[in-house]
Amino acid sequence: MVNLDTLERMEVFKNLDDRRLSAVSECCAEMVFQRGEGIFKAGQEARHLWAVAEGRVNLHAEPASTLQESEVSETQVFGWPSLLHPRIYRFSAACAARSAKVVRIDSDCLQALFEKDPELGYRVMSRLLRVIGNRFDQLQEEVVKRRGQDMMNQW
Amino acid sequence: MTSKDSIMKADVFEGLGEEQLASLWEGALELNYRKRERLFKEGDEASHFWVVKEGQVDVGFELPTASEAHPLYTIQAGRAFGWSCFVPPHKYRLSSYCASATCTVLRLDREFLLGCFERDPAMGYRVMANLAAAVGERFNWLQGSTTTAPYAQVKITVHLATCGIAAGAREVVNALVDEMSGEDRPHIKMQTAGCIGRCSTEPNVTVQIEGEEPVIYQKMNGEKIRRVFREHVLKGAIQTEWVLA
Repeated sequence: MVNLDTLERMEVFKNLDDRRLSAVSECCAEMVFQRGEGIFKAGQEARHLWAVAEGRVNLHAEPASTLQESEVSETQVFGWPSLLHPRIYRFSAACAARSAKVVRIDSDCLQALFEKDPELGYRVMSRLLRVIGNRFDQLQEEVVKRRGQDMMNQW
Repeated sequence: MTSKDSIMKADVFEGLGEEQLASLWEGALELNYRKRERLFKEGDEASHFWVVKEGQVDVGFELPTASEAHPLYTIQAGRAFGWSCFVPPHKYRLSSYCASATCTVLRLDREFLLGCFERDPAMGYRVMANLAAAVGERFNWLQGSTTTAPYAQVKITVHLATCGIAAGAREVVNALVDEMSGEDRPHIKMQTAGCIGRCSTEPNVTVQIEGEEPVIYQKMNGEKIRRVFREHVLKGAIQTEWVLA
């Protein structure tokens, strides 16, 4: 269980009413990590969606490449492959602050709630699409920049 | 396939019931394009969501001095694109062009779709979940394609004029193809070219690694080129004993 005030600050749970927030909180647990401590590794089975309550989390691909590094701040979520087939984390996540408090959300539990209450599913998945879309845009922008530079150099 | 069926078969509408699909069909507009015709341009207001019914659509970025967009990926029939319409700031991040001789696409208005989802959240949930999966899949693909970037681009040229062929250049080509087929190495390209004017040293092969001087090897055969490939191309160690001065 996680405090509703904490939950409603999270980008994917914004504007949910207390009844829905309470249902979601049943799927959540709060965890604290210290700087450098791993939260999950790329390639692991993805069973949880995560949200940063305090501190920062670093996401990095393996093998490491600056193109695929990013930092997740307070109220943001990560670990979205847990809600998508084939449910494998693509990035490794580690605590990037002195300590970070994160909310661990059981994805099976969350999806069961969505099936029972499709409006909740629609609201949360719409917001999650924004999260994935923004991450995708960042990656795409880097790829475009690189390929564009390569092409210009060839001329 | 009728136009209505094409909406039903679109990946993002998978799992919807017939009534839900019928209501979506009410807002779909079928449009036809010819090869290289643009559907939308990067930076345009993203007010529509699109489904390819027939043909292929390229999605890519524009370069200021090029007449055509450079494609990042190709959308096949039955797949949707233009999901920026659901993500603020609602601007298309890339341009899209018809990539086949002709393309038939279904264009759905964003406001119409959002209205459908508000009235029927079960439909909204299903579509958003499918869309998140589709974008996630494309993200993974794009991420995978960038992992090859740290490798330098390599071009291997086998000089294959009559003199080269007579001297055994085909054996060299076959050995190279065999080495390259062992693993997916998109950064390595092989090509053939004409004689370099050194018939006595044929078969000649040029190895050009991005950022380095090209190296011309002489009197190659199947065995030698395999060693050049494994030691020079893959590990960077020039095989000096066979280098043409």
